[in-house]
Amino acid sequence: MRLDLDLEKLLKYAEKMGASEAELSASVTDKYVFEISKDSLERALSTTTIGFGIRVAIGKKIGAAGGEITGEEGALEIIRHAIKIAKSTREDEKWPGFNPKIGKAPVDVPVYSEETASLTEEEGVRILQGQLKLVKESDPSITIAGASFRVSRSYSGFINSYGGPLGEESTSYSYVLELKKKTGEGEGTYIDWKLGVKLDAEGIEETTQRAISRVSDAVKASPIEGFKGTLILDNAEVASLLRILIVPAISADNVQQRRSPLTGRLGEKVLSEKINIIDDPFLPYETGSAVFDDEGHPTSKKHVFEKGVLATYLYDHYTASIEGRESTGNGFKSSHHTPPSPSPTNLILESAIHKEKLEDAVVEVEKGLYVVSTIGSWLSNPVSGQINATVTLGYLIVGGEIQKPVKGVAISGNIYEALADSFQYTAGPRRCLFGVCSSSIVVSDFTIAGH
Amino acid sequence: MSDIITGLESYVEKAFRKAEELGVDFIDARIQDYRYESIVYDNDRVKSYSYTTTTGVGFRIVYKGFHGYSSTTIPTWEGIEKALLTAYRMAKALYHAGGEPSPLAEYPAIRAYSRSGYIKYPFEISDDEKIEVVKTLVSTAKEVKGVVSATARLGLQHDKRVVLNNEGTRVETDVVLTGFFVSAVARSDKGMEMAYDSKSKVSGWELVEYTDLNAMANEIGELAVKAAHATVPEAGKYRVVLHPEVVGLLVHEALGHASEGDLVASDASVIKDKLGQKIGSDLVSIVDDGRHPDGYYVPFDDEGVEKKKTTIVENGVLKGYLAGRAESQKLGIDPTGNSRVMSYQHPLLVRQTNYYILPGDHAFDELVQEAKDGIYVTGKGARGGEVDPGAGTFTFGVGVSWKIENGEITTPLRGVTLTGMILDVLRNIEALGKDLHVYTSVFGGCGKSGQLVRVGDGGPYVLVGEIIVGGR
Repeated sequence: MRLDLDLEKLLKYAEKMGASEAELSASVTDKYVFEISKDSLERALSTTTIGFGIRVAIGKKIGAAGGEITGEEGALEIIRHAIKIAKSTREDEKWPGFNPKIGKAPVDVPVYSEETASLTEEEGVRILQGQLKLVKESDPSITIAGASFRVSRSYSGFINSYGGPLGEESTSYSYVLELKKKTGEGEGTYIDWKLGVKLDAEGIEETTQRAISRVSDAVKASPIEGFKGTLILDNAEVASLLRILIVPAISADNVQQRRSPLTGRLGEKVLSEKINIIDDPFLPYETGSAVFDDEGHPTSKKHVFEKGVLATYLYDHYTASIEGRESTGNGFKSSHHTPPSPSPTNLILESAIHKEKLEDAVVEVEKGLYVVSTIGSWLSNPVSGQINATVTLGYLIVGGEIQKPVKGVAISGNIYEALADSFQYTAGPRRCLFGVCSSSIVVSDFTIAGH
Repeated sequence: MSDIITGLESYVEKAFRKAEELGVDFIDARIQDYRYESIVYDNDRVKSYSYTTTTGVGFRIVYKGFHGYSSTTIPTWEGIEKALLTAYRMAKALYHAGGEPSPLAEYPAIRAYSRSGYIKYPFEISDDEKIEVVKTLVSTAKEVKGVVSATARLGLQHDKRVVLNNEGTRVETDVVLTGFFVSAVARSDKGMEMAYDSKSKVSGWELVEYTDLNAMANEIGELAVKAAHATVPEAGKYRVVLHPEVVGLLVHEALGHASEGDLVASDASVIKDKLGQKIGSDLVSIVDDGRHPDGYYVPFDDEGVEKKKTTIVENGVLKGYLAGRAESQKLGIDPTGNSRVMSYQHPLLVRQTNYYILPGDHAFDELVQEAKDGIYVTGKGARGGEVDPGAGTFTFGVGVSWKIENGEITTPLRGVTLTGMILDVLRNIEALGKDLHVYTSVFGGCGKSGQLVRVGDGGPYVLVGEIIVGGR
C-alpha cells in the first residue's frame, strides 16, 4: 500500500505557516465487510479512506486538527486550521515539546499478514457462508440473527519536527456473530467474536462452534437467587474488565490528575502476589503490537505489576516529562487529531498459579458461578474500581459440578479486591481482545445479585 | 450549502444514470459535510483544542434485493464512478452468494430542506470566549473542598447532509449542536468517586449564554464530594424513583433497541411478534420523535424518509416498531424515518431518534412518598447502559443516588447499577411524573454495529415497584 502524501513536505509547510514544531500522522485504509442478517447474506461494503491529522505548537500554544481527506489540498487546509487554533489558544506552561526520540524498537514484530491482506472479497464472503453452513448443519433450529466478517489493510505514517518519517503496514480482521435459538423451553441468544492480525480460519470455526454450544445453554438459562460464592470469570470477560478498570488506572495522565485509584501507590503491593501484569508490544500478530507509538517513540516491554506490586505507570512524552523521565513508549491516539494518552500495547495478566484446564477449576468450587457472557461491564467505574455487569450466560456450580445455566443476575464487587485477597488462580486458555489478554480467573467471596 | 456538497452533488445524477444502465433496482447517495470542534480543559490547562472534518459521498446500490455500499471523498467523476462500481460489485457478490433478498418498501419521492435553528453560530465565537467557558467550569468545580480533579469539555457540531435517490428524492438537512460538560473527582477515606453533568442542545452559542456555568460546576463538585462519602447499597430488589435522565437511558436501552425493526426482522428482539399485546403497565406510552425541541433534530432520516412521531407503546400495548424501507418491506409496516448512518461511509441501520415515555400526573414529591422505602436513582455521573435486546436483559450504571426512607429522600448512595428484564420493568411502573424532560448530547450518542449516532431520550420521573439494584 502507498500513502500518497509527502509528510516531509507537509511538515515544512506547517513550519512555514508559523509552527515552531509539529507532529503529523496519516493513514490509508482499505476495508471490506460482509454482513448476515437472519441467516442470509444481506449487505456488503467496501471502501478506502485516507485520514490525516496534525498537532502544531507555536511556543507553548498547541492546536490540533484532522479528518478524512482526498489528498494534499485537504491536508493543507487541516494544517491551516491547526495553526489558527494554536495562534489563539492559551499557553500550556508544562508543554515539553514533541517527542524528540524518534525510532522503532529493535525487535521484529509482525503486524502484517499477507494471508489477510490478499484475502479477496470472494474468499471473504465464502468464509462467512461457511460459518452459516456450519451453524445450520449443527442445529437447524439456531438462527444467525447477525454476523459480520471484516478485513482491513492499512498503512500508517508519522513524522515530527525531530525525526521520521516512520511507517508501518498492518492488517486486521474481525468476525462477529450473534446466534439465537428458540425451543419449547424458551429463547436464548449468544454473541461471540474473533479478531486478529493474521487470518485464523480454525479460530473462526472454533468461535462458531463455541457459540453454537453456548446458545443452546442460553435457552435453558434462568435467573437464580443471589449469593456470595466463587466467581470464575471467562477469559474474554476478564480482558474486558481489565480494559475498563485497570487500563485507565495505570495511565500516568490519570495518576497525575489524581483520577486514578493507583495515585501514589507505586511500589505498593496492590494485587495478589500471584499476579503479574505485563505490557508487551512484541507479541507476534496481536492487535496491540507495535514497534513505535503514535508519538514516534520506540515501544518497550515492561511489568506494570510484578508479584502484585505496582511497578510502573504507562507514560507518553508529556506525562513522562512532568516527572523528568523518558516515555515508556505508550503514547497512543484515538484518532489522528487527538492528543496521545498513555495506553497499553498488549496488556497481559498472568498468575503464578495456573490450571491448564478450566474443568480443574470447576471441580474445586463448592458454590459459585462460571460467567461466560455479560452486558454492561463497560459501565464499571475506573475511578473507584467498582465492577458491574449483568450476566447473559453463566453456569451455577454446586459441589464441583455445573448444575444449570443462568442469566439475568448481576456481578458486583471491586476489581482491587477481586485481584488481591480474593484472587485464587487463573485457568484455561488465554484470549486477547483489543490488546488485553488473560486466562479465566477464579475469585472467592464474590457477590452475585440475584432475582 | 457548502461548495464541497455542490461539487459532489454535480456528479450524482450521472452516477444514477450509470447505475440504471447496469441494471440495478435502486441507488441512493448520502453526501455529508461534517465539522466538529472540541476543547478539553483538564485541571489547569487546555489539554486539547481540536477540529475535525469529514466530507464525502456514500452510495448504496440494491441489486436484485441485495445491498452493496461504497464511498469516496474524491469530488471527481473518476472518484465517484469507482465508488459506484464498487458498491455494484459488492451487491452482485452477495446476489451470487445466494440468500434472501431484501427489497425496499415503496416510498414517495420528496424534495425538502430542513435546517435547525440557532441565534449565534457557535463556530464564529472567538477562541478566547470558548476557552473561558471550560476554564470557568473547571475552576468553579475545583473550588469545592474535597474535589481533587476536574475536567470540562466544549463540543460544537455542524452536520450538513443531502440524501438523493434515483426515484427523485432530494432531502437536505442542516443541524447545529452545541454542548458542554463538567466532571469532578472527589476523594474521601472511603475512596474516590466522580460526578458529572452535561448540557447539549440543537442550538447555537445561546445555550452557553443562558446557562449559569458556576452553579452547574459547583453542584457537580458538591455532588462528587457527597458521592465519595456515600455508601454502596446492599444488592437486591428495591422500589425506585427514577430521574428523567435515567428514565431516558432505560427506555432507550431497554425498549428502544428491541423495537428497532432490523433486530425485530432478524429475530433478535424480545418484542418480536408482540404487536397488539400488552407489554407494560397501563400507564406506559412511549414514542420516537425526530423533532422534540430538547432532543436531536432528525426531520428526515438518511434514506430521505420523513421522521414523524412514532407511537411504540400506547397504554401498555405494543403498537409499532421503528423501520427503514427494507425492514418495512420485511415486517409489512410503513417506513418510520429511522434508517440512519453515522457518516456517509457507513451502511444504513435502524436507529432511534428521540425516544421517551409520555408524562403522567404525579408531582415528584408524591412519587417519593409512594415509594416509601427505596432508592431515588439519578443520572449525574451515570455511565450509560447496555441491553441484550434478544434476551431482554439490561444493565445501567447510574449516578449518585439517594436512599428513600419513610417517604423522604435521606442519604447519598454510590456504585448503584440497575439490572433486570425489560418487560418486567415496564410492567412494574406504578406512577409517572407530570413533567417531560428530553436530553441529547454533543459528546456521545448511541452505538450500534460500530456506528455512533446522535439521539435523544427522556421521560418524566417514574416510580418502579421493583427493580434489581447491583451494589455490594
